[in-house]
Amino acid sequence: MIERLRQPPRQREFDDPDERSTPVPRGLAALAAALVAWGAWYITTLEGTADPSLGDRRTVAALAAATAPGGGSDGGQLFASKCAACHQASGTGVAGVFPPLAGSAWVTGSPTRLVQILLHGIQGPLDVNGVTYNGLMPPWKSLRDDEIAALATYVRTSWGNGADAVFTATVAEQRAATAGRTTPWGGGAELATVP
Amino acid sequence: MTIGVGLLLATFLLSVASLGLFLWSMSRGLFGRGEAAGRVIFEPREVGLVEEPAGPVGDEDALQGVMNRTGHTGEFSVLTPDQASERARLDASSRMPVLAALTSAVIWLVLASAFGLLASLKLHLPDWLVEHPWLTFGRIRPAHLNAVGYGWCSFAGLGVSLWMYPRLLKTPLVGGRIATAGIALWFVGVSAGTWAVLTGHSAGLEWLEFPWQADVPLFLGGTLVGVSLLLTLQRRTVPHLYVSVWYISAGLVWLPILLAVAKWPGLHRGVPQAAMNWWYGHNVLGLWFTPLGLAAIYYFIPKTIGKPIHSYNLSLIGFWTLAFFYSQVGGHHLIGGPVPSWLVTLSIVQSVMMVIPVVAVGINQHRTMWGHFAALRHSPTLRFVVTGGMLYTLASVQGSLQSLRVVNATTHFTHFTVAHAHLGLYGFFSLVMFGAMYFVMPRVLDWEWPSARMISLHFWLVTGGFAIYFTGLSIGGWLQGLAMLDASRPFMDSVRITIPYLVSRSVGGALMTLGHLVFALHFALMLGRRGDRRGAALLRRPSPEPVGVAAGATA
Repeated sequence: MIERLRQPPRQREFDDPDERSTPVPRGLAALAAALVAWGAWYITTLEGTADPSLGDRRTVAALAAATAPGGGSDGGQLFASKCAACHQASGTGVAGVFPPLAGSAWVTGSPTRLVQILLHGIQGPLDVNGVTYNGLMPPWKSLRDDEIAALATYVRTSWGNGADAVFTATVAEQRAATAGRTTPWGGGAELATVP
Repeated sequence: MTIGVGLLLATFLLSVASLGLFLWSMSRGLFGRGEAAGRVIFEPREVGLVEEPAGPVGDEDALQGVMNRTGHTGEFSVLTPDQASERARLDASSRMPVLAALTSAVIWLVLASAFGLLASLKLHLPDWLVEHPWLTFGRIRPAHLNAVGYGWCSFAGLGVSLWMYPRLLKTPLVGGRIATAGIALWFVGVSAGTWAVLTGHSAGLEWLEFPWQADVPLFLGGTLVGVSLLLTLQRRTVPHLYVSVWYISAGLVWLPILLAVAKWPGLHRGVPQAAMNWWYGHNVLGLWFTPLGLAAIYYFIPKTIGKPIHSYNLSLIGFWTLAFFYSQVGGHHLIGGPVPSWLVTLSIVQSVMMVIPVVAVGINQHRTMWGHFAALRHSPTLRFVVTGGMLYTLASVQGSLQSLRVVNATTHFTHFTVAHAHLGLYGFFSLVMFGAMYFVMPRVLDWEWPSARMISLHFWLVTGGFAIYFTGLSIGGWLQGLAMLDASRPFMDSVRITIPYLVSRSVGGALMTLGHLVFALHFALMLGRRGDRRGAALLRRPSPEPVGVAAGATA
């Protein structure tokens, strides 16, 4: 190794270097052509979804469906944002202050009564599973019919509750029937009169 | 067909046709001679002679033996003392900025690895180290991303480029002090930006988390390095620009433009800001890191095995189609978002078109290496750079597929994307930079790497760790995407399903970090002049009389 390093560099003829301007493989050219053709075709699929103000691949029809009644309101999400602060995420309420929803007959019983509670709220003594609560539940009539239906269905089917779903049409009927009401239901006594 | 769609289609076809015409005329030499460009990195008689300063002495002989056995016909010679001292002069001209940049790179590699490992652990140990705000996931994760991108990767890319440039142009670096000042400013920018992110002053956009004030030194620093390199380009003594020079020069022009547009204070609002965010976020990868990484691959593979790059025409296609297609790619991050359909669709088309440059570069490198893969055993540089080059192809093809709406529907917003990002910036870029640094540092310091074993340990730790990292996270991410798409499953299912894979990612990440510590320690030992000098590295040459081929050459 070291001996070789000390040798003077050789001056002699060598082969010419390899040709480097190798032509482009035909396969690559074919691939490029196929990709360009695909790209052109893909651009034409824009047809019909090209209104730039709506967003990527969104159509008026698709956006309208999302806001229509029954268009997939999420009861769980509504519960988490509107109700869980008092009734707790597990539906247990807070002992002596906020009544539980899990295992409560007010929830799993008459669907129309539950809808009325949601629409107008409660102010007055209310007996739940042998404990009397005397608080205020605010009215939620600002929610849409489909939202109240989704919310009622969620509380009737969560935490071991096994009651039926509530339909948007039921909420609409109940809202119309008590349209003139401006005060909450006066506790358990008045609610007992609601079918 | 509506006017909008027709216009877009016509623009696309016309531009691609023009690009084809341009490439055809370049390859026909209508813009000047191109043929000899592949030989610029060699002295006239050096083709066919291996060069690997990072390995032990015996390995370089073995490497030469492999190249001879595999039937390569080339010219063999040794540098004359004049040529050798000329090359030493070129290396000396870039020594200060290269040393500054590569030392900074190693510092940021260690910092960034620590941030990354911490962020990874927090994903499955969410209650660990939450008592200090700066250690929370929301700050550590962007600190990791920026420390990797603007710290480790940028410093390594700048350092290796600064070293290659004088050699490629056979001209001493002009304005070495300007470049060193640029590196120093860059260090100030990265430090200030990372500090701002950790103290809660993030600008809130991915890849653009640094507040704009911290990007000013980055912009100025990058520009200063660019000035030094472009002044050198102006005084070049070579008639042809080697392909690496195209990539480095373009990257140094692209980066300041990207930074200035993206960080201009108060310019971007609302939906266009999101579009700009991903325009920048993807371009910084494709028009900054990728060019620097490819420049290194194009230099170090032919350089180490002593064989010219396979095809100038493929290099041309690879470079110009990257420049042409890449800038629109980022829009595929906004699939399904509130941005116009045409923007996303065009971006998907451009993303798929990226297959062309990737295949061109892949063929070019594969054909250059073809028949010489045994050489990987003897050359640390080659082992890192070739692995990185293969992962470049893989990452890019995967990226094109992921941009398709049908695949994106599953992978978007999952860990799959994170695995893909690491395949590009780690598997490709970082591995190539490790390899390049193993070649460059002995030339910069005139000192050998102290330990071949530590290089080997580094290689197996980072590639093994990364294999675990990538495999686990890809599977976990895909399952996460499927769980999120299933409306009947609660969201938490999609989180729980990833936990074992997140743990495997931490294991892989820990191995990678360990590898980085080995590398950093080795680097520090070398800076401290431990081990052997073994004479001037530049003059250390293997057998000037390669067995077998020499006989053929004279016959």
